[in-house]
Amino acid sequence: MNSPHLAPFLDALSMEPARNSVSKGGKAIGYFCTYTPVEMIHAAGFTPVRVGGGIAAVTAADALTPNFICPFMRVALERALAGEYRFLSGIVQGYTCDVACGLVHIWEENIGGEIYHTVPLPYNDSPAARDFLRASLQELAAKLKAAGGCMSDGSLNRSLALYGKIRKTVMELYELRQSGKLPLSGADFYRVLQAGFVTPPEDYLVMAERLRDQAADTDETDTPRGIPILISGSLVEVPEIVAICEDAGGAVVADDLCTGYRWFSHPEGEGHDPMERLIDRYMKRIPCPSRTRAEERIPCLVELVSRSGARGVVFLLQKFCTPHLADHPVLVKALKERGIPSLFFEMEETGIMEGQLRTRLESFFQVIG
Amino acid sequence: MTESAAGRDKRKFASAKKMRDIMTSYYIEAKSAKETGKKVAWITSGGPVEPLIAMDIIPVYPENHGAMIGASKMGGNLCEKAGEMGYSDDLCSYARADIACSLVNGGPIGGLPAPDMLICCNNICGTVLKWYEIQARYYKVPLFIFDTPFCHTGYGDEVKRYVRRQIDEYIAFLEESSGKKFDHDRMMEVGKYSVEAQVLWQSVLDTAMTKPSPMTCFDAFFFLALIVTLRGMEVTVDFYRGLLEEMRERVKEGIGAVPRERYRLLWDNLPIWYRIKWLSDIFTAHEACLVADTYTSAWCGQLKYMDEGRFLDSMAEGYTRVYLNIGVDEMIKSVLEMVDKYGVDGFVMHSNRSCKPYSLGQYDIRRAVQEKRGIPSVIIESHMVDDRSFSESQAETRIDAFMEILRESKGKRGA
Repeated sequence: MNSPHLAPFLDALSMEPARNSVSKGGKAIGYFCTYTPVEMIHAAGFTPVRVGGGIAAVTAADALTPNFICPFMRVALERALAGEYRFLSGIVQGYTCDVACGLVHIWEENIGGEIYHTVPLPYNDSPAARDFLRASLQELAAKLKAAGGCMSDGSLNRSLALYGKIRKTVMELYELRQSGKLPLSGADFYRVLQAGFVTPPEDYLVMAERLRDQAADTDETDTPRGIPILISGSLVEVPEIVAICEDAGGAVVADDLCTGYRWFSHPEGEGHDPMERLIDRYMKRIPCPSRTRAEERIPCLVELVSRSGARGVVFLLQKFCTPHLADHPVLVKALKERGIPSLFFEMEETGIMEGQLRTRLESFFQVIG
Repeated sequence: MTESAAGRDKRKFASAKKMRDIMTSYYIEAKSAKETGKKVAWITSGGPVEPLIAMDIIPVYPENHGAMIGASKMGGNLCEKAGEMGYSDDLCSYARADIACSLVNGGPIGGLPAPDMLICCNNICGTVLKWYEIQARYYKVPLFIFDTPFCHTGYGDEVKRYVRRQIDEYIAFLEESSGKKFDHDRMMEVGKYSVEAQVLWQSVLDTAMTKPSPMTCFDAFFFLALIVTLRGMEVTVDFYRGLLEEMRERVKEGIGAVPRERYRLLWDNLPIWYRIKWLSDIFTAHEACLVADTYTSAWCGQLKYMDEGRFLDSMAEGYTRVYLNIGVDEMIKSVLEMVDKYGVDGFVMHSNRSCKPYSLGQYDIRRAVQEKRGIPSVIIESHMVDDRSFSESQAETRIDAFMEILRESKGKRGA
């Protein structure tokens, strides 16, 4: 195929389309992580925008947070304090980890906006837990209504269908890239995915479908070169890190990231009504370590490695991230027992130590190559 | 001016030996469980222990053990061992010390008795979930997760139903794990002792409202052990009754915990277990008494929700609405109440790298206390059990500067 048309995705990463939706009279609501029921935010008439962190020097946020929470949250707050998220009407967040929960309050106090809400998520999946989650989501619906939103069964059905289509389309992009029909570097592929978090979903679906169709129509194949690896962690927001992995001799063929596969896989849930389907999807999705035991994650990870043909796993973890750091030793052990080597690297606010990452990756690739 | 030996003796607590004896017997019993055929359950510090006591299952608290490890200055070595096992230094040092201790049977009592089951209540943090999962894998024992949803401000019907249903599941889990039937009459009795002990513990802490205060928060950190580990037992009620008498006696005789108490301070967050005496000496030298803290009051702060007549129902609410499971606005309210109640002049905040949920809202709380009560504060940083990165000089410099500000501001107010 001709070079994939990336411009709309790169434009969207600047959050311009999301800002435009607000300047046209709409409202946008921010969220931190993928356990936030964005389908409901959208069904109530708002544009959900995932708040990003990235790499930056933290100064203003230093006066509001301790320096031992994840870089994602600190940099995101820094950006908000600099006014970058002024177009948001507030934050809605699912209670995944302690830091995400705590940050919602800090934003409310220091950034302002009309809606702030943390959805308490149950840790277990049981009939009682699902009943409770339904009640929690109804509470969210009431909050969204109070902020001027209006959600009905009909609008929720439409939003579930829209996000379901997005996820299916992105899963097809994963497959096309795997088969060589979508010749994108790992860094560019994750730019495409990341745009999905900050673009109004109707627009993103069109962009993703166009990319899929362009790729599907071609007979040419160009599979990624390099030693196939899977990257695992929470947020990898800086595509340059993926580029370093590939420059050092790897080819990122799969991921277990909440900025990637964990959000886009498992397109829809099952159930008699839209709320039940929403709950079912959140319960059955590939879990984050903050939401489940490592025993549940290991089979998913091993399956992803085996299906993608990855020869090793590179853990790219946010520094100070308790759920991921606590699971890491047992994941390493489980992978090792199955003959899958892994490498661990932490990401900090000021970025990564590029030279060190490159050297360690090169050694890793020499061993597994 | 150095205090005389007689003065120091006067300030010693007779109850301290009694508590050490009770804790020693408790740990001996727990460590002999295999021989006596009793079951051992490990449980989180904020977990509902009363059903265990009612079932005659011995509750063991890795967090209490973590505190002992820290106080014995053995945390650094164990945390280093945890690092070798792959656990990052950025994780909670209670968890790291405990995980390493399981492997090497280290620490001041040669490790905890192996559990037959694990009870994890996530009302205090998300870390305990991962920690207990790690231990469930290591010991190959069943884990019960008591899931208490975060309460922003209130306690709605849905939360109530969800948590209450889990109490029934918890009891069924205990029946299955212990092979014994749950005795509701015994539960009522345990519930009564639990509430009584909490009332007494609150009364003990309340004696610090007196000027001079008969106790410091460092004393509370010590006397806390029983209300954490053995609430619901008669021995605990008896102990706190005795401790309260001793405190009241000190109040009557005007014995202050700090000689020449001039400043009254509030402590926030868990203790820095390996520097308790050091901190106590520094503040004493400044004639400052840490009269109260947000930590030890967690084991009686829910009394307003407790009803011994319907213990299991009220317990569901009490355990869900603990200090660390409520919104920061609620925390601020609670801190301001303590400032007023204990006549506090300054606020000492421990920014605890081991406890993110406790430390994250501190900047907002600090600002609110400053704005609403006009009292200064200081932040001291540590990992509560892992002493390897603690900087004495940095902490001391900060405390000295803070006390300087306090002296000036109190001088201006004409105190």
